[in-house]
Amino acid sequence: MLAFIRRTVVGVIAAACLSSVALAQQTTNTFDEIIKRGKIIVGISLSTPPYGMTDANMKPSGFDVAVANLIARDLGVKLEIVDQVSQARIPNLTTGKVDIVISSLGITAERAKAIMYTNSIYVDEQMIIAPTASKLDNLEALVGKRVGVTRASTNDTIITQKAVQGTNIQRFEDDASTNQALFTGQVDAIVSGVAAANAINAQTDKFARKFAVRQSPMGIGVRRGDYDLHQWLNTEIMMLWSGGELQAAQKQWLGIVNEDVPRF
Amino acid sequence: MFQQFSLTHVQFMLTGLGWTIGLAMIALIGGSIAGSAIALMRVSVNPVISRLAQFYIFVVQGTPLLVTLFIAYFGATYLGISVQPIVAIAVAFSFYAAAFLGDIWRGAIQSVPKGQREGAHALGLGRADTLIHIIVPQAVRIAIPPTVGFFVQLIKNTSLASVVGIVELTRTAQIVSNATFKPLEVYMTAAAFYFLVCFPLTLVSRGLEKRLKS
Repeated sequence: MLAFIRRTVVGVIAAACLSSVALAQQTTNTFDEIIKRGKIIVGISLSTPPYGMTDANMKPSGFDVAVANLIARDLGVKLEIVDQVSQARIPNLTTGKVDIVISSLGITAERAKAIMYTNSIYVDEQMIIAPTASKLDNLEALVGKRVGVTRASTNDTIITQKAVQGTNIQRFEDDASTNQALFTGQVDAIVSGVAAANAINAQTDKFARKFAVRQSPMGIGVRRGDYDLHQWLNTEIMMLWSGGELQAAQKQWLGIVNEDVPRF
Repeated sequence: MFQQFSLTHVQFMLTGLGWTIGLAMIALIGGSIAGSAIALMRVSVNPVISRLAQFYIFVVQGTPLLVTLFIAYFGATYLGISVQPIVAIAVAFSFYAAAFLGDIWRGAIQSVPKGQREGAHALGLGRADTLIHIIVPQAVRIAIPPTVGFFVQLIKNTSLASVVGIVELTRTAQIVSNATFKPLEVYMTAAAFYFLVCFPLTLVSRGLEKRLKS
């Protein structure tokens, strides 16, 4: 029995090693493959307005979708959008389920260990939003207050890092729930991007931006090692910027136009 | 920019409901087939087979379905296999359901009084005949309530399918809620849809129980 188990384990490990070698060898060039199949598969979360959402006819729309459309147009291929929940954004990319991820993906050094980022397509500012009457002007003022944030977003990362001891951070599943918590008074303030703040102000003026916590550049996620695709996308972003099309998409969907986007 | 919660949204959620029902059917059928095998292995007189089934039940019941789904979908890629979302779901849900159904049905088979088995043997019936003609018909009646209870749970668990990119009922509710910023209305509608699917199942189970009792 023991020998059998040992044989099985050795067999499985050997098979895994062999197949991972095979996988490494067959690593095709994603850029060539996109052109060959005439279609780019882009991962976008459709539950993150105004980046990814659905229009009145339930078709994908938003800033991320607009950028994806421009990229597909300039590659001369069809666009296929794969809806993804936020925790599937990086696994979908690393396991090859999608070619690239344009999904309000904030750039962090931690995430950059798993995937490659293109140059930034938008720089968001992470704000504290609270009832207009409240006096929450800095991080110290948040001590003892309930601060709502969307789980696993860069908003979550930054407030977790910067919050003064004693701040009560409450995490919600998505932006709609975070905003709803603010509207119903379950939290005293929320951390959110400028675009989301604009969206809230479009509905009501009972809530206002208090102060900025940090700038948050967003990029397109590419699989590690896909240098051809990475280089093409950076070229494309530069061209879209100098042609003013990226700014137009920012204006249309986010209501703000960056003065410049950081490049590296 | 934000839309009013409208009929278009409800229609979109209905397509999600379609996926939810489809996924539940796959899980029920796959799980029932594999679950019967596990239950039979579990009541086998061969200790190795019985232990093997017990080990399987331990492992799968002790693992969250979400993790099983992640392994089936993303993990398979590392073994060099590219899986379609629907295949990953069929595999993960069938494995999951088999462990629970196998244990429920094992319990039902074993709770048939020993005298029935001994009586059947005394009448000269073999092991297989005893199982098919004497034990299983009685076990079915015992198994119905927990089985339906598990089926209802399984239907609701299909909401996990959104991690592999299937836009089922809960995911449509998320999307609509984020487009309309009306979470309460949207999730109440989703809850009503789930109820409409699960409640008839409970009624059927009650009816079956009554019929089999008389």
